[in-house]
Amino acid sequence: MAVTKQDLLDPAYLASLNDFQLMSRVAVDGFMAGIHRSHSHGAGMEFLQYRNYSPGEDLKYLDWKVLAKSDKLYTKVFQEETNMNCYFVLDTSASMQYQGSRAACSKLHYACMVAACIAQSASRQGDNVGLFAYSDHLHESVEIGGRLGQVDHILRALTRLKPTGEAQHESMLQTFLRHFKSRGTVIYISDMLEGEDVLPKLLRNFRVNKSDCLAIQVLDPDELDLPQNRVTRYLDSELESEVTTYPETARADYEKRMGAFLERLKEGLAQSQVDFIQLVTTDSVGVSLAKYFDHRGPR
Amino acid sequence: MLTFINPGLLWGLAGLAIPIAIHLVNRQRAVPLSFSSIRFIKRTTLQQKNRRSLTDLLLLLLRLAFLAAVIAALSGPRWEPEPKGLLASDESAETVVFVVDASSSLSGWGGWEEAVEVFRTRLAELSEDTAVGLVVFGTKVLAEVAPTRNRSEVENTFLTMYPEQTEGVSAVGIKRALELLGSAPGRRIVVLSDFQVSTWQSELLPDVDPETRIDFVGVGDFEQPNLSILSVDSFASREGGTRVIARVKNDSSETAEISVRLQVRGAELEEAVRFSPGQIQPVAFSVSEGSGSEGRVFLPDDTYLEDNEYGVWMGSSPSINALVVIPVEAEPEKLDEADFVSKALSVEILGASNPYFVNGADVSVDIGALIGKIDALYLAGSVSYLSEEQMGDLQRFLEEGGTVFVSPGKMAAKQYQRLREQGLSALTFVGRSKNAAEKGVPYHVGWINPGSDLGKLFDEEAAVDLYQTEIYRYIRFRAGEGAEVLLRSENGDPLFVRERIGKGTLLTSAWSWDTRWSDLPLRFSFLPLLRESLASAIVDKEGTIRLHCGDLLSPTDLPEGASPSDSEYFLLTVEPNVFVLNNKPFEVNVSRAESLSQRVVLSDVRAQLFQNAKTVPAVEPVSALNSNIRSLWPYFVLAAVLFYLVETVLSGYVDNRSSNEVHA
Repeated sequence: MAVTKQDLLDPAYLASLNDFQLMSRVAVDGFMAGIHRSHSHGAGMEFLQYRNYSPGEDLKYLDWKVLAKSDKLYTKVFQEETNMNCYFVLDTSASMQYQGSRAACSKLHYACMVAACIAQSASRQGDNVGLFAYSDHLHESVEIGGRLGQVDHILRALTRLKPTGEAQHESMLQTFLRHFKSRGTVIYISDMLEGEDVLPKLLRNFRVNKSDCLAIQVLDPDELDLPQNRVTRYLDSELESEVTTYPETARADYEKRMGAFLERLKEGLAQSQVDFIQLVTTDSVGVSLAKYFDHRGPR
Repeated sequence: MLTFINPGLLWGLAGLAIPIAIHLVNRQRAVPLSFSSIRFIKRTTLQQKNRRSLTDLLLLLLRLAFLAAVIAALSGPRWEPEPKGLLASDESAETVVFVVDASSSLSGWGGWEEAVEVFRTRLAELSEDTAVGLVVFGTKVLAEVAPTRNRSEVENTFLTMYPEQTEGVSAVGIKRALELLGSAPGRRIVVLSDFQVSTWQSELLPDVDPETRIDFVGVGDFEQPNLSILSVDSFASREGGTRVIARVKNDSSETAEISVRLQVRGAELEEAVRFSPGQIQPVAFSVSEGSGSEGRVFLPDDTYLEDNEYGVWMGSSPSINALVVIPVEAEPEKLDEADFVSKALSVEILGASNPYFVNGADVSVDIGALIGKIDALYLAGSVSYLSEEQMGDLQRFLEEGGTVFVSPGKMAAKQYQRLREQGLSALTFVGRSKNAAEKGVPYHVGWINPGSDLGKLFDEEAAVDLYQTEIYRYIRFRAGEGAEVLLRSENGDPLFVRERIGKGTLLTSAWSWDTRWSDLPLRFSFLPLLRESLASAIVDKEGTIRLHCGDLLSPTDLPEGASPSDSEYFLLTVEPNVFVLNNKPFEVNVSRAESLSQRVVLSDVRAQLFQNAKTVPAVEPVSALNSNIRSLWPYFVLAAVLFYLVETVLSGYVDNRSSNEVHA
């Protein structure tokens, strides 16, 4: 049976490809097939206006034709490159390892797929991309760049990621912020499970730095409804604690608490002017791409 | 160390799994599940009584302990003292060398004050047995103390130092510290630096063996706002005075409104300028006084003082005299080319390299009389018309350092032949390309020599215009030995070639630079291509020589017999300075690389230092066992008995309580 566009964006299909390079291309092509006929190539410099030559400027921008005709020194001004810096900040703490029975892949794998797809499409638009992945320490960091092969760097780094350790949002995001110089878009991908108080404050710093920030929460469907049906000993993947419970009796309370947590998180992020997307690992990757393009649009 | 006479019997411990298995089977089984976060999961009451399960667990543990103690006692346990290794006695000894960065940037951003404080704290923390050494480095080692227990010597040496106005070369400091440490036990290096990229991004860092510990202590706060003068240039202005242009960078996240001052001959000019965050902005001054003097540009004081001052030589650059020669009678259409070229050369562009003075002449001009007066000759299709005597003069002109630009005319074949016969050129005429009108598609430049000045000038985006230049026809020639091809066509034919003859340069173009041969004269690239290729050939007209504090003068700039390390010349470049030596103006300023408020990634530095570290072979432990071995089995028997008694009492209590509950 032929693979349809929907299949190309299905996480189950993409996860089976098992190669971020291939996967991201397939997904981006699948997505693009719907909205663009083709992407154009060409010189990125667009003439904007003339302006008076000022001493010390490079000769190569001097308009020689005008000079020859009129003896006046003018410099051609070109449209600023519109490409921007797109940073991916990935939480690779142990909680990202969870994969429930309904999901095709773990949360981290899904987060990596989303990052890979957005990086691929951002790079196609001529944007610079960079990566910062952390839990309690720095796992991978790829300097921002737009050269050929930059996406490959990022994809290779994503392949190496292993979910371990407890998420130290505060210290690691502060570290990232110290190295964060140029403005751009920060795409933060995490399950944000312990961070409803701290993350909005930390992500606000990027907004203060005049950058856009898009927070993508990746959850497993199990985390929303606690579907287990027999007595279960839940071991916390990050903290050394456990709780044994009957999910049937605990479910209603769990959903209430989880709902309250999500509300609080959304509210905090909204106050910090950070866009928020919640993705469940069974969602089509196209959703994330569409939301990204919506966010990438002119502000 | 615990050993056993019959360790095989310890396999019996596997039998402990049996009661555990029974215990687990007896419990209501809960499926373990590693879950993202359990903070939202409420513990629901299990049907078992918790206290009961607790006593059950205690009973299980007691029974396990009893069994384990019996098995261990049967295995013949005994205690043997630890063997001592060779290095054991040296374990506590430590040798620490402080490596302190005294590059210019440390004098700003509070770096040095913090370094002094950290140094004192660290020194006080070390034990009294620790030998302490010191290396203070800039571009070279500025001060050092070999590891000693005399703390005051190290401290006093450090406190007499202050950052120099030079750049930092981290490799020098680390290398010296490793030499001072030698093979001392417990080697440790403590680096105090601002870890600025310019000091630490070095490929020369030495290899460090894995036994040596390195602590990096970052000092200084690069978040503090700083404004710096990146460079200052001066040009003779059209009106007769001098224009001084300072490029100033606001390296902070806040807008700064400051006044930039220029001091020249006691007078002072001031410009109030507003700088947006991160902005680099030129600030221009117009000086009416004559040139030949020294100027200094100042910024108000901020966290780093060294880049708030810049000395500039305000003398004029020497002009370049050029002559365009055309065969007026034989090829009057060459006037078109002469017009374009002389227009492009004679236009006065402030801030560009040396100005040109351009004249035109017919082929009958006396080239011999021009030697010494003219720097560049543009021969537009003229070579074929020169007399033998003129060809001889042309050769002399080139050998004495002149620059000649040759473009083809009607008699191109003859032109290459004459130049070749005269020994001036290694180019061989091959033929003419088809006219683009016949071919239908114009020719293009396909390759710019990346190693040449043109390659640097026409970088990625600027090259696009040159690549788009349409050439309608050109002369095909073969470049022989010694000819440096600067441009090639798409099919690989040389289009623009440079050859060195004596001290001079011969530039040969494969097409005439007028609108009949190509659209180059109408393109952006024309002006820079023409001016820069001529200017780069005229090496003698270099302007001011710019040095950084701490650089040595080049021996070629000194009078004969003098050495750059003579104190007379050495002292000239120690501090910011503007001077004239051998008629050449020099500007010495603090390196602006020291103004970069960016830290290197420390893990990269560490990785680089230890990149070639191989694991050191472990020292074979010496067997120094004595007969002081104690048998431990009685203790295990005693423990087994104790566990048995407690278990009996506890199980009796549990049974008793259960029967009471049943009765109740």
